[in-house]
Amino acid sequence: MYIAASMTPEPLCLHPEMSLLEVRDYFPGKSFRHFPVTDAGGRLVGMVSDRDLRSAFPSTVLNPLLRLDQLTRLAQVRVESIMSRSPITLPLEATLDDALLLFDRHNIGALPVVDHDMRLVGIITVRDVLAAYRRLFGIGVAGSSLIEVRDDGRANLMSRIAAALEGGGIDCPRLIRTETAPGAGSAPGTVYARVQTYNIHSVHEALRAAGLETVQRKPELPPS
Amino acid sequence: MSDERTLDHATWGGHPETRKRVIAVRERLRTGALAPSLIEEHPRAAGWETILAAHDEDYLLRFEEAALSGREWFDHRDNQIGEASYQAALFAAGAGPTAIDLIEAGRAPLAFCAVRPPGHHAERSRALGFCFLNNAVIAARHWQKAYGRRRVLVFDFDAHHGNGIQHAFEADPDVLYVSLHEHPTFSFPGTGYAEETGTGPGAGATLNIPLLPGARDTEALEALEARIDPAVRAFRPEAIVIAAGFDGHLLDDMSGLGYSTDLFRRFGLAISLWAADLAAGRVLTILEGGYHIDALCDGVEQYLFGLAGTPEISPEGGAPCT
Repeated sequence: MYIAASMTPEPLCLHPEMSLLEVRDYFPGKSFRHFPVTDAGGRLVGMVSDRDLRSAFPSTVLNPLLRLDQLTRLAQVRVESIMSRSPITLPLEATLDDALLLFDRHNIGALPVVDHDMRLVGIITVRDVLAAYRRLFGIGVAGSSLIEVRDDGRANLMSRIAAALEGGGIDCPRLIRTETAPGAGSAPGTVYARVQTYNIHSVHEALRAAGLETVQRKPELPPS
Repeated sequence: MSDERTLDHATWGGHPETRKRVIAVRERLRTGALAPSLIEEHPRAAGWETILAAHDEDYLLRFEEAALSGREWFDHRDNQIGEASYQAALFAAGAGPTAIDLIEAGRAPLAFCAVRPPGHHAERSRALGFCFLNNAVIAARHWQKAYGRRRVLVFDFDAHHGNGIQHAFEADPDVLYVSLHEHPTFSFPGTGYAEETGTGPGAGATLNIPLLPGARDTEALEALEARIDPAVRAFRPEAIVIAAGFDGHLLDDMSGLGYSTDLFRRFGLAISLWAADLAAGRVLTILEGGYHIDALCDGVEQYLFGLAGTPEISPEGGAPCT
């Protein structure tokens, strides 16, 4: 659940005194979107996005002479003049949830990860977090089924489900309980059980035997 | 195509994949309305080389060892085995190649393999979802290798995604894998999202169509006509392998789909047209899932009516299953 396992450690970074022309040559053929900027001691001092860089470079539709003139001037423009200072950071001990909440709140694509002395130790992107949750939830991995159990309003629902599944020898890597939606009145909630089996017949039986109601997804039988 | 020895694969304790399934299907075909048109043939056991097209040698040795040493399951508790399971799987895997030889020799215009254990969840080195040897993959490779039918369509209408077939062919542009199944967020095995469309040189040669729980014939037929038929016709297969599962039926509690029996006739009919129009009639069908015995028997029979190009005949009932 920690970001350390999902971030890119020791990312390529820029230095404040680099010129923008140097930056362009620094990443030949690479498509990075977020560049941490560190000082000589490796401490994070800012971030530069590919958008910051693109808007600093002259447009490709400019008159060639004008464009050359502007490019020459970029040799004098330093990274520190376009970087965003005091960027939002994550500490190395942060969890995936911390990262997800920050991404969501600030609408950004990557966060630098720093130690207690603000030294840059990694970078984590929205894609990294998506991949980590995908692994955690086992999405796309062959071998499981999803069972829906009705919240019967009685005590110890989760432990009853877990006990019924364990008693039936059924591996269940996760149980997710949904909140009853606001305004839904007394509509029953649902618990989703991810079970590592194809034998869903036996899963339904084990849950029913424990007095639990599973949600059937079959269409209704036509009237005979 | 069927064989007593595939019945020796033992399962117990309420396991859905029982020998009764194939016994009942065989009985229905022997005594039902199709009986006069059918010839029963027996497969040879699949040879080592034939199976190695789909599985690793280590895996086969591990499987044989597990069965012969009296283990009760292999790779996962779902995959119950008995002493005869390895041999049963060899005969189930041999049914496809044996039938292909008959088709190619002009001795069988249509072939249906009523075999078990099923195959489409079996991975190269892992048994999964009651499957040990991937019968459809082994058959498709045999068609390519023994007869040079390079472009093979594998259409899988089992209610569950055939992860093993997809993984065998996803990087191969010569095999189009089409699967119509219940959505992987809900259903076993949890693969077969629409965005899985093949990898590397096989990009575009995998077509997954997930149906939401509760889907009925309408949704399946819409997918068949609007998505699957154009893809198959554009691919122009030289041979067709069908992974035929009947667990999407309304009465089968192993999926959330609500197919009627008649949908399987419609599948058969569509496939018969592809076979005639594109593949000089070369079509082989292998049984996958289907766990409600009556629905399974009815589904197989109606599927075969469709496959034989009988668009309208839906005989009442048929012989009861035993």
